[in-house]
Amino acid sequence: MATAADGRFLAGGHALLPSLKQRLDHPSDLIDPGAIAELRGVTKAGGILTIGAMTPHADVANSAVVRASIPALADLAAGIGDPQVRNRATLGGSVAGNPTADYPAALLGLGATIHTDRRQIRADDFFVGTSKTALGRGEIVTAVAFPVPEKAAYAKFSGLASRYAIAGVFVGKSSKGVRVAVTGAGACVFRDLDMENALAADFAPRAIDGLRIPVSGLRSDRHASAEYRAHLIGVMARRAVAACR
Amino acid sequence: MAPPSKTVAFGLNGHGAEVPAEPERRLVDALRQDLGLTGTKIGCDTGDCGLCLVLIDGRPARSCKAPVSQVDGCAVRTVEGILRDGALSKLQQTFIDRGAAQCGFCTPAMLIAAHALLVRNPTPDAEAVRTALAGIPCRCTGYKSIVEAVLAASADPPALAAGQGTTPVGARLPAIDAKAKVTGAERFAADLPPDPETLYVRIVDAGDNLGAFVIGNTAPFLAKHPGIVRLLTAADSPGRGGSSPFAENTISYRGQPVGALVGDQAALAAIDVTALPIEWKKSASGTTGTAREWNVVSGDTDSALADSHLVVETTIDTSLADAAILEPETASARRKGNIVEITAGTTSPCADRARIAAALGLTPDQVRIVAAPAGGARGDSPLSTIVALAAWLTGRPARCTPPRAQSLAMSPKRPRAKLSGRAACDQWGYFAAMDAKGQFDIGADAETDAGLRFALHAPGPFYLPAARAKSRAEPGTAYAASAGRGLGTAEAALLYDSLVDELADQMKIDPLQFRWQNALRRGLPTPSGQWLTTSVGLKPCLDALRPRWQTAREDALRYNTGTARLKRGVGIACGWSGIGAPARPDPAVARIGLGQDGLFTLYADAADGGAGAGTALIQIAAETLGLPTGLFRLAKADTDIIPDAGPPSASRRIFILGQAVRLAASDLKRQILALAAVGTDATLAVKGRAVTVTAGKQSKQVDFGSLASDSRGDTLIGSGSFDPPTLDLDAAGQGLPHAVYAFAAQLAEVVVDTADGSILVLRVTAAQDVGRAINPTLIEGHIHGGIVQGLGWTLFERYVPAESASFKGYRIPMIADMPTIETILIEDPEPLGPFGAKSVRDAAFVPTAPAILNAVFNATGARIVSLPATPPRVLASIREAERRRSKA
Ligand SMILES: Cc1cc2nc3c(=O)[nH]c(=O)nc-3n(C[C@H](O)[C@H](O)[C@H](O)COP(=O)(O)OP(=O)(O)OC[C@H]3O[C@@H](n4cnc5c(N)ncnc54)[C@H](O)[C@@H]3O)c2cc1C
Ligand code: FES
Ligand code: FES
Repeated sequence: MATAADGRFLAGGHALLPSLKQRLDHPSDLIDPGAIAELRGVTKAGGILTIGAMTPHADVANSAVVRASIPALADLAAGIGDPQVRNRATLGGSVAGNPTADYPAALLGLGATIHTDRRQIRADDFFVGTSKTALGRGEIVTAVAFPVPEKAAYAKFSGLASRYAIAGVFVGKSSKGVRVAVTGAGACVFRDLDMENALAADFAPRAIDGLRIPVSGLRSDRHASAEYRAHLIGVMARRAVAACR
Repeated sequence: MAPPSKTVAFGLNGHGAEVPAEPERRLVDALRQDLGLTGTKIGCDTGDCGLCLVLIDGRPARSCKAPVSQVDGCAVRTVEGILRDGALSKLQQTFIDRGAAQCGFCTPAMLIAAHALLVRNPTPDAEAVRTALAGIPCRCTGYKSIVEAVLAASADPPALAAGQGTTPVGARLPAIDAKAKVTGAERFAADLPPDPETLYVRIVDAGDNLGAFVIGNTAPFLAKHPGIVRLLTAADSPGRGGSSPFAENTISYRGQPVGALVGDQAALAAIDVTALPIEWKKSASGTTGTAREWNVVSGDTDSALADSHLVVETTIDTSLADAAILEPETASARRKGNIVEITAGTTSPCADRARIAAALGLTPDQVRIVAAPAGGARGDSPLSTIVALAAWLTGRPARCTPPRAQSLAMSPKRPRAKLSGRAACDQWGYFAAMDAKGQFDIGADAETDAGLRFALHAPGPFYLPAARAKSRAEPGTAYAASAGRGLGTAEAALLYDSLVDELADQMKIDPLQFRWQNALRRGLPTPSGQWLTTSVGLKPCLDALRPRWQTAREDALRYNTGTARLKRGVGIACGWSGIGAPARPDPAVARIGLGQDGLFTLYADAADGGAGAGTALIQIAAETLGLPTGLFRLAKADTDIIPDAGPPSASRRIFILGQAVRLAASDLKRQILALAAVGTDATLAVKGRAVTVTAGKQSKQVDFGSLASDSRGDTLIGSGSFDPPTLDLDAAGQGLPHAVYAFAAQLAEVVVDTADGSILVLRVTAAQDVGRAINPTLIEGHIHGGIVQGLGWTLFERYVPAESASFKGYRIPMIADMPTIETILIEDPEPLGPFGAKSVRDAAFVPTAPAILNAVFNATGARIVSLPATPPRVLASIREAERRRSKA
């Protein structure tokens, strides 16, 4: 599939085309996987929901299978950008392109596994820093496998023109424990282990009340200070816990 | 992977289309350039705005993000393809009827998204419409008429609001250019095909540099780039001293053009402008110039404050804001002998002509401006002048569409302001005094009236025994200042209405009642010593809001006992806005010709970026002549054809130009009656090439087909001019600054999330004294637009250099932010206005911000003193108010 050494993967084209316009990078060849049908769609087998990397957000939001097994994921997809973005932008583009987007919170919060054309990577090992993932050069995400949780919910606070999160918190509860993933607030999506422990002991919004959310490592920009983001993480986490189903 | 085929074939609006298969080619470029379908707009070019929407296999998608390779074999539909059997579809018709297309720049995208919705769901509710249209910005309509138009086109349409007038004035006449806007036929400046000989222009701007700069020897640079024909700098612009579009030696605002490269498009695109030998001598602030001050002083404010029952005070600051016009700027120019012709989307062709002539060292009649439809009203940008200079000096057609980031950087901004004041009342809640100060960071260009308008309006539309308002325009900030909507006036309202609200609160007087008992009315003086003798509809506005005020306040009280996190609040604010230029002549001229073809042509500068002035002016002309509006057409906004309507300023068109049109129409009627010689009290009827003049039982025909006509085919021409009576102000700001004021009051209902500080505006009820509603649909459209712009200014808009380089970094209100809006038009006819009309635009914007902030106070007890009221700021204010309450 990767015919040219410099081949870039063109999914919804949402992040790549504008940068092409600005000539920030010059891929010699754009590989369009749109034609590759098996990368698109949702399947459920055992306790695992697998979504093809080329599945647009709108398809995830409207999928009866997703809605029945992980409603939080369908809600998250329905809250990304606007209808036009959701019609074109894809799970793979979201996961590979920006570790502060909404989907990465779900991947981390559900302990998902990223399938690529070469290997399988745990979400915990996938998001490694600012604009960085564990993907190698030319490596392509083919699907993401989400273990179906007992319950889960995502709460985000945006207010930005793009609807990206200033802070978004995904909470997932399964037999393996509670996972809390925070996106938008730092340079990369991360887990809040203090909250996970507190919620494991008492899965209720009040469990978070006494916790101090560390400000260090959080972003400070004109939209919000790191302190405000820390505050929001608490607020969003409580909302997510309350909304869990 | 298969080798790329040579072409991509796809279905397009029911036909087939084929374009070259270049991997990087975007669908939007293929549509606009290869296939000539310019109905699909480019708003941002970076994937953020959604204005390039098309349907791909029935799904709305951004065509600037879709590579043509991805639509191979797909069915694509654009706005040109939503006609039904060659006729307007129901949706297009409802867009026209409801006034859903103002400037029309967002219209194609809105139609596409709505069309897709109606195919999927023929009976959507308002929520479904809002969801489907989310992501597409509109800067004009406030979204309300768009949502209503979509609902009206559904299979189960709600009934249309009544009010179809029988006379031209008062009728809900659709805008005359609406049809072109809903079919994609309207050609904005960027849609006009370029001349093959065209040279392109790439502006070299100062970026973030301020202070002195030196351009070194550019000859080696130019020699290395054969595609570049020439570099223009201030030295090429004979008009020095401010009229040059380029900085001369010193940068006075960020993003100021220092030069422009002229050459072929590909060569320009490939150039690295940082390689130009320009030496920036960095400095923190650039602007030179002098501060200016204005005063309005009446009575003894200091003693009144000292003697009063209660004094409150506040300090408020606002942020730099951009007009965020959706249409990207484009200008093209060509030289014809000794004349240079410029085509650009402008709302001030006559003022542009004067400016460009000065910069090029030409006389005004050597410059011709043809105004393309403008996607919103924009303050004057240097673009047209630069392109004109390029055409003038090279002798070849020139054209430029600067990238959005550059356009945003160099376009004038609404300046930051620091406002402070004290207000006092007596023990019965009557105003005793107001002391207001405003400081505006005016930036490079101190031409704006912001400071003066602030001083004149800062005491508020109230009777004040003593008032003192001072303002200062401070150069030294790094932006050119623009004429924003309600500039100076809205800042004034922000100040006085938060002081009024605080007085009412501390006096425990109902806030609406407090305003009502202090409101200006006929027979009272303004703080400028102007006795108001005609239309002052403020009290009727407040009265009209009373019923909603009462229920909304009660609802909020009830709601707030029930829930902890979300708090509801209701706020009210009053606005006033002097119409026209303050305290100086502000004339406008109009002409109406009776053509040999039996149609009347209105020659008037109605270029207004979609505000519908042309339509309203035709209604005024038709009413005056007693003829149907269908007999009238509007001359193109071309400075060779239309008379100078004076500088564009505060909402003056309907009032000033409208009166000039009425006078021109009366003049024409007089001429027709003179030809018929049947007396002065006659009615007209046009049939074919004759006017029938009837007075009593007498009836006579004037056969204008046989009259001599001029080069434009006009047989008779009526002229009118109007300059509203104003008087100069003395040193204390006393005089007669505005002949007429518009008044408004608005009520905002909000819900504040006290956990995260976010504000949702649920509903705005707006009552506005319009004098006389020439066209209620257009007026309501302005009010909706004003409110939603006001909401954006209050909650979101803040221009931050570098970060605001795209729409992604500059948040404007979207459809999801739109409150329910109810408008109530109050008609207190103004004798000086045409048929009693006053202008409405600014006054619709002015009360919105304070009404929202007062509602937030009502909900939370927190006074927001910084715009925009972002969630972190609101949260901090709420916490502060809680601390104060727990201490008390
Ligand atoms: C207006 C707007 C609003 C948005 N709002 C939100 C929001 O609220 N929340 C949010 O989370 N996101 C938001 N997004 C981002 C959006 O969800 C997508 O993440 C983004 O548009 C990229 O997705 P794409 O499928 O178009 O990918 P592309 O643009 O095609 O690709 C993006 C990058 O990922 C790479 N890539 C794509 N697919 C793969 C793959 N399968 N394997 C490996 N690499 C791949 C590409 O090479 C490229 O580098 C918004 C985007 C826009 C334009
Ligand atoms: S032009 Fe395509 S999204 Fe703005
Ligand atoms: S009509 Fe929507 S942007 Fe002007």
